[in-house]
Amino acid sequence: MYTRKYLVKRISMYALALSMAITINFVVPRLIPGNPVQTKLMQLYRQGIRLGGQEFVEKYSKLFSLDQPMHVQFINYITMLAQGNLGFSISYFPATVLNLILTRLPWTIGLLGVAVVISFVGGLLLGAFMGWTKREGKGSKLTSVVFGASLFLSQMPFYLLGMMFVFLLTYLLPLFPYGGGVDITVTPGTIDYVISILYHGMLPALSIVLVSLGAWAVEARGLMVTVLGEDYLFLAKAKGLRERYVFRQYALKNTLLPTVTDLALSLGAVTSGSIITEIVFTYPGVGSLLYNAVTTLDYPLIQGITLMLIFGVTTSALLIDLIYPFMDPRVGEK
Amino acid sequence: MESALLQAQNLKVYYRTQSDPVRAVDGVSFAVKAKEIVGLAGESGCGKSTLAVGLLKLVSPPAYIEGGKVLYRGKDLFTMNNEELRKIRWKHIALLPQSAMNALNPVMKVHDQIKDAMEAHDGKDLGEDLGDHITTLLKSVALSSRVSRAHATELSGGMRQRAIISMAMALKPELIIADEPTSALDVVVQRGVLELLVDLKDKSGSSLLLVSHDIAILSEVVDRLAIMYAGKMVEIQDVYDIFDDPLHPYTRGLIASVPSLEKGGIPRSIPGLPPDLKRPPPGCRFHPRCPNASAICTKEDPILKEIEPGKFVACHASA
Amino acid sequence: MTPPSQLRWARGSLTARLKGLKVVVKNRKILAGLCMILGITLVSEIGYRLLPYDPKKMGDVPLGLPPSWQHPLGTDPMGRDLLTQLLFGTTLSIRIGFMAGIVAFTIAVLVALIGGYYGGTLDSVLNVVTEVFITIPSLAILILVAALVGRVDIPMMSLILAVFGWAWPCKVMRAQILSLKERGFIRLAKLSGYHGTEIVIREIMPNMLPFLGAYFAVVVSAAMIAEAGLELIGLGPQYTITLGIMLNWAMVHAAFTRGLTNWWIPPVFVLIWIFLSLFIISMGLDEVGNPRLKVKG
Repeated sequence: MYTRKYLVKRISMYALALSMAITINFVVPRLIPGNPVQTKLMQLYRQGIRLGGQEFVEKYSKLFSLDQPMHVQFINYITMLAQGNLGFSISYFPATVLNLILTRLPWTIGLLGVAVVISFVGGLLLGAFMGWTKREGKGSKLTSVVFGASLFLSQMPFYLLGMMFVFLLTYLLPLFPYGGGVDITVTPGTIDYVISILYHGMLPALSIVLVSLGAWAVEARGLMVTVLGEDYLFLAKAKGLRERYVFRQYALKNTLLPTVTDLALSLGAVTSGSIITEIVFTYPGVGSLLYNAVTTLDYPLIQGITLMLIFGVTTSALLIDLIYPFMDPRVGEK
Repeated sequence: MESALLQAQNLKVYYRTQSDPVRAVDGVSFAVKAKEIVGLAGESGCGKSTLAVGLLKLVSPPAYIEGGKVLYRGKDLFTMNNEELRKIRWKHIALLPQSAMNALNPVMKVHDQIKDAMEAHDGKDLGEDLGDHITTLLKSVALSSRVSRAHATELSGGMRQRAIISMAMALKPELIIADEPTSALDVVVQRGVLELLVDLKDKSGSSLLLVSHDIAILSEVVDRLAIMYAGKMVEIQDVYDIFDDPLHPYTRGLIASVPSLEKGGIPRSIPGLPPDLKRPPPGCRFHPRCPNASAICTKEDPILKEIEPGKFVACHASA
Repeated sequence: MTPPSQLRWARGSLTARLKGLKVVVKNRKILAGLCMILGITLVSEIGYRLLPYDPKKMGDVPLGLPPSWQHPLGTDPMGRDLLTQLLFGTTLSIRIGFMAGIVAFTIAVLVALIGGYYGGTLDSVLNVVTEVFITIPSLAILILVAALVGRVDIPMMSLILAVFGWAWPCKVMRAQILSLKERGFIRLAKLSGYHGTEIVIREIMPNMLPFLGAYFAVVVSAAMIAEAGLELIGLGPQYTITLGIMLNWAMVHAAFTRGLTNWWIPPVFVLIWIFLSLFIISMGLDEVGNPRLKVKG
């Protein structure tokens, strides 16, 4: 169904990304001299946290098989990963890394998912429309302004916008709540709960959406302008086809299809940006968890989250790449 | 003209630039009658393609219509609203654009692209035997039924060209304007496409306006030949007459530059280069290269006149 | 080619390149952007040295003061003058950004040229690697490495940022090189007997020059944004001050919600100024590269 070349390329990318992540996760901590568990315990000890003595070190070392030669450690590590065992978190001990991530994951997926979908669809349509208005050569003042705004917004980092929102809309004009994903005084499972979730998620989502939407709009407009100059659009006009139909079937389709591959590529950057945004808003997602892990140097948690993120992003990208040939007859089909 | 199907009157199409506009078509008048083949010839840059596109108001920026009229069966296409013009395009007058290589929508099947032309003009309900109808159409341009389900990327240049012709034939227009229908193709395919066009014209009774820089090819199939130079129409005659007795010096130059099996000898090219269309030379645009140029040629721009029935020329020497 | 004609030819392309440079410099957007960047660099470099306070020494001045004549931006809770911090931090941020940008840019150009020009399996492999670096959420690995390495100093910071910053510009540049290859003059050069490196330097580079400038500007601004992002979450160079670190302090002390605008608005303003100026430069370079877009109507 797919051309062999296409499949090979996509799968090898996926494999390469995952092996990079796993290798870095495995190798880097072991480059640091000394027993990391012991070092960590000493650190915590100095901070006044007593987690346990020598037996703790031994148990944890066993868990990480730190006493074994490298290749054995590696095999153990891979096996653990395959079983979904990401180890125990140090700062949230005895919680497992996996559990911690899973509790936070829905928040992040909700935020990211909604933001990506809205900005992708909305931005593309906006951009396509802006480009389409240029078909007679001139555009209106309004589209120029909107385009300029999109261009400007697209260059901003999410967190910058987030910080400004926090200041303007939670402090200056307290229209939105700050922090958390939901009002904890509201009972879960009710409509009020859902509303509270949306209310709390609005600003973080907006920080991500405004920037991404701008970026997609700029891209779509550029693509549409290119499509407008193509011969098949000319023939469509010469064929006396109705304008709306031409916009949909000839212009829009050819403009939007190439953006799907870019969507797969953008996931990494959007995820990175949303992590920082979560931190700025203390939104209870994986990003905040990562921040906590960083401040306490909870290595297993840091590694676990990193791996999860990379896995999630690359798998989503792979899925998109696998679906794409079904949408675009020019690519991948045999 | 009474029986004129399409008539251009003083058509002007210019291109906007940062300085003066380029006067690509500068006051061209001519007509195409029913059931005839007219050839529009001239060198690259003379404005013939711009003219073809301008006839149906299909110009896009930076080109624009500066003036003139185009009458289809007596009605001025330029004063119609967009919807009326849309209905005329393809169904009554079909323009086959210059390059077919990229003229097919890459994300639609050929079948759907034929279908949408039919739907746009003849309405939605096309009947269940639409598939068969399309297959027959494709066969008439020597394309197999497999092409129906294919996408443009799977077809060769010649196949794409013929697919577009079949799209035109679907609605049986009264006039087909073919802009350089053979230029991008190799010689063997060229002949095939040309013969196809003529064959279709015979079968459906439509007229053909063939635009090409190759008068040798044109002369084999056309009834009348119109010659353009530097944005102006300089001569229109029946094809036999024009070769027997070319009236305009440029036409003479053109004919002399075509190798001939009968006359032999080395073909001669016309000395000089075509003028800059932003600032064309005063008077007749051909005068810098004309062997017969006189004083009046440098001052007054000659008008296309019918010096005998059916013979048009724009030259002071033949007045 | 005999040496004299080679010289003539090289001189020819040099004048062409100089003419190209003139167009670049004359463009208003590029000038404006350059002025903005130079302006802020100068102001910050000179400014912090003029002020009597030490931006890093804690307890240098009274803690937590609001803005006043003595301390135009006030002081932070660790006893440091905020204006000095701002100016000093700006110089460091710019330095880190440029260092990272140069490294990332060099890598990107090399990979794009090698892959784009030589093609074949080498190109396919490089392309896959590039796309992997684009797809992976860079922040995740950056956080991992920064946290694991512990003490991050300035060169290390730039290096870490460069490791991920090269991928996306590389992809764009490769696409451009590929489209340049399509145009005949590369083949012509090959047929004339030029070798690979010569062709790259004489034919490809001059055509890419205006774009290269834009890409560099983008790379640097991306590096600075990533840098500020990392620092915001506490993973920056230790014991020093940059714009991102100032924002980190602000966030940790809940400056946003406490209305302590003197802490975080100035660094945000500087960051926006910097990325705006680089953005304007890249817009200007885009105009130079695509003059068609300037014709109105």
